[in-house]
Amino acid sequence: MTVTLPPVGQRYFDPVRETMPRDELAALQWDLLAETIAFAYERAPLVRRIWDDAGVRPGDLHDIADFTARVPCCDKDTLRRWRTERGDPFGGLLATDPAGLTAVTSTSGTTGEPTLVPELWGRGSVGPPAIMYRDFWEMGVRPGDHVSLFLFTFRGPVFAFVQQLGAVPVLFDHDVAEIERLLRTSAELRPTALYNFGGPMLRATAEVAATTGLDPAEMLGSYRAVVAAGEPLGRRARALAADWGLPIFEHSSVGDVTGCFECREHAGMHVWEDTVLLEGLDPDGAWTTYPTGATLPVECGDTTGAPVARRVELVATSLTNRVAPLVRFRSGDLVDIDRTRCACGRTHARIRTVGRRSDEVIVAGRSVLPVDVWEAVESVPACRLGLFQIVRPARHAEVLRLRVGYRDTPPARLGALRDEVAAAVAEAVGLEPVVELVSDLDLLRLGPPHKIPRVTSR
Amino acid sequence: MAGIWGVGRYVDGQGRSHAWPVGTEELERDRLVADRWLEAVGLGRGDRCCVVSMLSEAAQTWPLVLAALLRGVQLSFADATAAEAPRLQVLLGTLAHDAVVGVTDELVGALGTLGALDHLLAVPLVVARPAAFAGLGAAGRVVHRMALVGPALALGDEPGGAAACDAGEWALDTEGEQVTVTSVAPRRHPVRHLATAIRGRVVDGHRVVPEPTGPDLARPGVVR
Repeated sequence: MTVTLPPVGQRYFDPVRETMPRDELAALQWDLLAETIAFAYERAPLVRRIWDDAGVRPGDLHDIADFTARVPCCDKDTLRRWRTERGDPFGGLLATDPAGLTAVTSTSGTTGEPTLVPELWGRGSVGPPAIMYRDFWEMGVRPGDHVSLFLFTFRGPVFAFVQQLGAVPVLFDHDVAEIERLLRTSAELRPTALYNFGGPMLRATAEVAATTGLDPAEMLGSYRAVVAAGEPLGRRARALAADWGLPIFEHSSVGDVTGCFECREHAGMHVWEDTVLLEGLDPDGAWTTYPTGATLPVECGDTTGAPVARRVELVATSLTNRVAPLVRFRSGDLVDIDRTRCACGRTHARIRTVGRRSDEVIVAGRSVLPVDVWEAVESVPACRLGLFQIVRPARHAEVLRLRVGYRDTPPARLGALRDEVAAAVAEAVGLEPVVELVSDLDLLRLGPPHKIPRVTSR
Repeated sequence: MAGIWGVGRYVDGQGRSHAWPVGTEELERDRLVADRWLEAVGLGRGDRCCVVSMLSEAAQTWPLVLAALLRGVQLSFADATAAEAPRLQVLLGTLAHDAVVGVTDELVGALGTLGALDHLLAVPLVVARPAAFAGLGAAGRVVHRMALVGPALALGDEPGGAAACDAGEWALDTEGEQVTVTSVAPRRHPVRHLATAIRGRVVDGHRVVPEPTGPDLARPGVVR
């Protein structure tokens, strides 16, 4: 893919697409959606099965409202079931000749085993460059810059977008052991963006600074953007970033279809809606998820409805993927969606991640998500890394059970520490928790390194 | 900044990390070297290869990935850490692979803990770093060798054979038991008699039989 770069002084990478009026965006979405569903129905066996069982064909649909009203959703279990029952490694989504694939990458596997992602590099999607390009341009990356990548390899050649922007990637492993090298190399090369450096790494940087005497504020002072993803930043990580003058940009996935990043307004993460159809569903609504549901929904999602939606389940349909397009994929992520125009001038939706639907535990009628207890755990000095899990054998529980990581505490003080954590959490959520203390290292081993499972069944 | 592909990393004989800027011309030469290795081991269109590496090693491994891509080899990826064993288990257990390149001792151990080592042993071409090579040998499987000799990638083209760098790019030697490397062709960041973390025997000035002297993955904390 050859990328044409805009003038360096221009804020938008693709001004026409990024600031498109919403009515024009909706028209573009329908054009792209109509192409995508015809393509997917023709080639992806799971998509065809779902639609055939629902008695829907692409030609029956005339607009997005039709689509959201008549097409059943699928989710990770749908794909896993198809994969297991049919021995199809791609869960029935592959819409191209498997022998022609460039690569098979995979998801992180935080909530289960990694899902395989088939790829056709350079020709796997239609439309102009969007994700990463628009976002890092907005963050201020320009040709000639250095960009630090603090990442993994399992997603493939993540450095390509940096090179396409005319910048030079500086490569690091996503590993605490690389932080000192990051600090020193950043001081030398003065990169402008750092991707991906979330809460655990920010907190670990404080430890490295304490032991080496290095000053993160000075050594990381060149960064115009530090991208944080994996899990929400807690209070301590935000405070550290603020102390060091690091401009944090939050980043998340959009239902395994694409990603999203904050712009410089930091008012939610922009979802490029010319690449994905974004819906927000009432998580407790009677939505049909293939093949478990029998009743088709009578209400559509909020795609064309109210501009703002709170604590809805993110449902995504790819509009550009021509390898394995996900169609009405229930992410399990609870988000707030805002489709009002951002102060940056962009018209595409912004989301904030609240938690996972599967993470929610109802205790005495009260909804509790990890985000609700996070700051309380972090506020206890021995638990300042904010490592904890909600123990959730079922969605409804009589008591809130937490497994909390600690450090620097002798055995004789653990009882008092347990009480301290319980009191902080009780004040935050109004429920007295049962707290099990384990070492930080034990929790970190549950990896992958950029996040830990925040909810566990036992 | 035309001409710079990226800034990778290499580790010296004292375990120190060095930034390693690589030019696009160097990378293209390294791709051609990797292409010849792929030809030698018989990997081409229709084959599937998993590359096990770290992002910091991409300046060494990307030429191989690119060469494989251009030859029509289908690629998959895993980091070289123990935590990636479940991913490798899924990849190898789900998709038949013809090769896995870059295996480390900690990954072999973690696959064993998962009861999934057979997935790896079933792959026809396994290319392992020194400690993993020794571990797999102890399990009765003689595989191909791979070593990161400072900035140079050395790959063996037969099971149990020495791992080779391209003689036109790198010259290997020893200082005591330590393998040294010198860049022969022009590089943005030339090295001369650089003592590396690899210990072993050098043959013909560009082949190395490394000894398993410690964990395969360097996790250095100091940079120069």
